[in-house]
Parts: sequence; structure tokens; C-alpha cells
Amino acid sequence: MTDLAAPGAPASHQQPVRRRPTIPLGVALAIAWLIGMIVVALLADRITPYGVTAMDLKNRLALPGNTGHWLGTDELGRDVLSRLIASVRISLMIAFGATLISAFVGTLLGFLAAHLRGAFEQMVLMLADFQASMPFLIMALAVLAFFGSSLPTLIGLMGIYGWERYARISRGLAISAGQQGYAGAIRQLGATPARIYLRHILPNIASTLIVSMTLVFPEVILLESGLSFLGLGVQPPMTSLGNMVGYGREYLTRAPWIMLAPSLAIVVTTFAVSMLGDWLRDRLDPTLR
Amino acid sequence: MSRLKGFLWFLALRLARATATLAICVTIVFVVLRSAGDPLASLLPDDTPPDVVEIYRERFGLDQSIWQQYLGYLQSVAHGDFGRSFVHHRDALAVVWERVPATLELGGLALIAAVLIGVPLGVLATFGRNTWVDRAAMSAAVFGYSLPNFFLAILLILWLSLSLRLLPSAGSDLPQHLIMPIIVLGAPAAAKIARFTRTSMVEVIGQPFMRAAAAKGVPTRPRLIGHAFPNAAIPVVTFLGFEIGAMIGGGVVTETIFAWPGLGRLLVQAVGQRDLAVVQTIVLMIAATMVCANLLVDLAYGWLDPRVRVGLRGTGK
Repeated sequence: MTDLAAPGAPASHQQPVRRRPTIPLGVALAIAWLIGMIVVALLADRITPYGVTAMDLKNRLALPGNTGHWLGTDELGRDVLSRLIASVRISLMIAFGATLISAFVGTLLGFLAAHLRGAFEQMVLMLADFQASMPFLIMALAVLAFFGSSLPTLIGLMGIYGWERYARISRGLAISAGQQGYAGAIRQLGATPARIYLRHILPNIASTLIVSMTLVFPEVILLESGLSFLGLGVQPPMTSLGNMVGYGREYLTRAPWIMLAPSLAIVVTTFAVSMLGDWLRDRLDPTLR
Repeated sequence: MSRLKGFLWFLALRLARATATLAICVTIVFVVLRSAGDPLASLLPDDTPPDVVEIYRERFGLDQSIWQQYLGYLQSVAHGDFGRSFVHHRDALAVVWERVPATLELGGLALIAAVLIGVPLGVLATFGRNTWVDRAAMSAAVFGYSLPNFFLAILLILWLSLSLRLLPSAGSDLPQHLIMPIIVLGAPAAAKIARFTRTSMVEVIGQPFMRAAAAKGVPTRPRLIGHAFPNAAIPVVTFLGFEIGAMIGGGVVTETIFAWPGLGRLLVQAVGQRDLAVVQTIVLMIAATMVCANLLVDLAYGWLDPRVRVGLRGTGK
């Protein structure tokens, strides 16, 4: 990997601890892309040139690259760039929301299992096994059939995805941390279990959990775009990246740009997060290697 | 004697686990079904007189306590009665059953293709470890599983159907119709299998018995294929069990895009029409399949790797 630092700079493991770590070029690009996506998502309302549903009937299926519509228009004359920006916002919102929910739920259940042991632990482990063995897309489709699709349902549903990984990791690490000296020492000092888990054990396992989040996050984006692609995820007039791809599929021959732009956004974003995750894993967490 | 006892104990544990998993699944489906709202509200028109609603409530057993309903549900599932499809006006199980062969055909062929490509690719990568062969194989693998399946499908349609006009874009009448779905479904699986095979091989190569074989003078190729591969293949078998789940999920998207008349497409249609009887039948059927697949993988593991049978305590993964 190429280093951003000047040539001849010593490799990072030889440096004194306080020096800033060097970041490989690929990872730097990935971080830049992700920051760009987040900024786009946050400013979506201000930077969309047109309304998401605004139609320009004189310019239907306009080619990309013209000054009015940089990425062209779809068959109703809606601006593809504006829809792309709005889609990025919805897709990222779902992915962030879901990743946070599943990290919270999974870690909580893992800690509870480690603390309570016994029947509760067995139940958590059994549910985790169950979740890991059942294809999630099938469960998601079933839930959508029963409850219908709305944005909160979708975020909550995606929030179930991946909890079992955090639960297994946090349970395993909490049990081993509980046997180490520091946890016992604080317990002797009279700290409550909540304090031990949140203030002392959590910071020690945070890096592993963050790495797991970078693994779950792209999968959530892919799941959501898969569901939306099938027309069962985000519902119109709202739009997500998967929605745009599914919708653009019908105009594949006449207007491939409608689906290529959101597809590339999905591919590059998931790739960037995976790359960042790999790098973080190598840096932060020798146990997962 | 003790070996047989050990094996029976292993078998009993596995069977108990499989049954428990299925029970959880049926229970979850029941809970979701009941919490999704009054089933009668979606069945009957809004202006149905209350006394007629009551008659239906009694007929479906909805006036009983939730525990009685649960027991009744377990009973009907055990009898293979999953309710009637509102859309097809037939027994849901019959509707679902018709679609099974198409899905098995596509999924089976894709899995075979994935194994035939993935395993040799992984082994090849270990032969030329840290050379361009390794890097090329592993880059292809990363590419294969990081592309979303719908995107890969659309690219293939654009390229092979629309621009080269080689293959039909959707349908199920000709053998050519199978090619693109197999690629879309098999490519990510092949990629993951290749990576997993490589990791597993590299791990085995580091073991003392491989050094012993090298010291004994066994040449590289027989050493890797005859000594390392059989050991490395054991975890790959387990991995295949998990991969079946991923392929069922991938099959949903693949079948929908290529209009393949299998379970996945039926599921998407049933979800769109909220045909709950069909949805729950498919979900329970897939759950049963996964439980059986995991059970078979566990048994195969115990059969292939004697250490698992001996060290029973290590089986609770």
C-alpha cells in the first residue's frame, strides 16, 4: 500500500506512539468518499437542484451531461441527480440507524448474557444461532408481508440484522474481561455492575465492536437496496438507491443512466466501508485477524 | 462401545438442537402472525355485520385464549396444514410445492458450479501463495462478492442479452435461460468458497504434520493435494452449510430479475400481495431446510473429523 507520508518516513510500528499514524492511499480515498456521502446526505435539502418529484416534461429521458440536468432525467423528466442525492440520504439514514440499533441491542444482550449466565444466556445463544442460520432476507420479506413497509419499520427491521454478532463478541469478551484483574479490582472497590460494564469493559472491547459495525454497515446497505429493488422496501414517493435501480431497470435499454448512477453509489460506498473496516481491523484488533 | 455411545450422544444433541430451532421458528411465525393485527380485518370487508364477524371468529378459533390458539397452530403445522392462499384459492402448501423443483434446479446447479470453481481457485491460490496467481484469484474473489447481485444481473443482461444478443434476458423454457441466473447466484458463492478454501489451506499448511511431510521428502504438489487438502476441506464443508442460506436469500433477487418460476419469485409476489398463508409456508419450509442443512453439515463434520466426536465438549459453537 502507498503511504501518504513523505517517502523514507519510518513504518508506523517503528514510530513513537504519539505520532499520527500514516493512512494508506486507498483508505484515505475511502474515508474521503464516505465523508462526501455523509455531507451530501446532511445537506440533501439544500443541494438538490430540483425537487425529487418535480417533473420537467419537456426534457424526458434527457442524456446525462447537459447543463440543466447533470445526470440526465428519467421518463417523467425528473432530475436523476436530485433523486440520487435524496436516495443517498434515505439509504444512509436506514443503514446508520439500523447499524446503531443492532450494535446497541446486540451488545446489551451480550453483556446481560455474560452477567446473568444460566437460562438467559442459553436463550440468547439459541436466538443467536437461529438468527445466524436463517437467511435474513427471507425473514425481512416475511415481516414486510405481515406489517407492511414504512420507514420506521424498515429501520427497525434492518436493526435486527447482525445483532447476534455483537452479542456473541460482547458476551465472549465480557466473560473473559470479567476474569481479568481489573474488573475484579473495581468490583472489590464497590462499583455497580452497570458501571463495570459501561465504564470499564465497554471501552476495552469498543474497537472490536466498531470493526464489527463496519462489517454490518455495508451489508445493511445491500439488504435495504435489495429489498427496495424488489419494490418491497422504501415506498414511493420516497426514494432510496435500491428503489432507483429497480425503477431504472425498466428503462435499461433506453436510459441506462437512471440505474447506473445509483448502482455505482451503492458499490463504491459498500466497498469504501469494507476497506475502512479492513484497515481498522488490522490496526485496532489483532484478535479478529 | 464408548465410541458408539459418543456418536449416539452427539446425534441426540444435534437432533434436540434442530428440533428446538424449528420450534423457535414456528413460535416466531405465530407471534408475528398474531401481532400483525386482526386476521379477520384483512379477510372480511369493512362493512361486515358484527355477528358475521363473530361467526368467523369462532370458526377460525380466534375466540380461544392465545395458548389454545398456539397449540392449535402447532397442531395444524404438524399436519402440514398452512392455510389457504387468498390469491390462488388453493391450499398454500400445494402452491408452494409446485415451485420447489425450479428453485432446487437453479440453486443446485449454482452451488455445484460455485464449488467446482471456488475450491480449485482457492487451492490454486495457495500453490502460488503471495504471487500474482494468488493476488489475481483473491482480487477476483473480492470483486465477486462485493458486487450486489442485482447489479451483477443487470450488467449481465445489458452485456449478454442487449448488446451481444447471446442469451435470452428472462424466462425458463430453454436451457440457455439458466446460464445468467447460475452466474449471478453462483459467483458470490464461488468467491466466498475460494477465499475460505485459501484461508483453510494456509492454516493447515502451518501445522506440524505438514512440516513432517516436507521433511519426509514428499514433493510439493502431492503434499498440498494429498495431505493438506483433505484436512482443509473439512471447514469448507461447514461453510457450504452456511452458504446454502446465503444462496436462498440471493435466489429471491435472482429469480425475480430473470423471471425464474421458483420459490423466491413466489415469495416476492406473495409479500407484495400480502398472501400471508403462502409467505408463512415458504418461511417455515426454508427454516426446515436450513435446520436440515445444518444438521447434515454437523453430522458430516463428525463423520469427516474424528476429533469432533471425541471432543464433544467443543461442539457447542
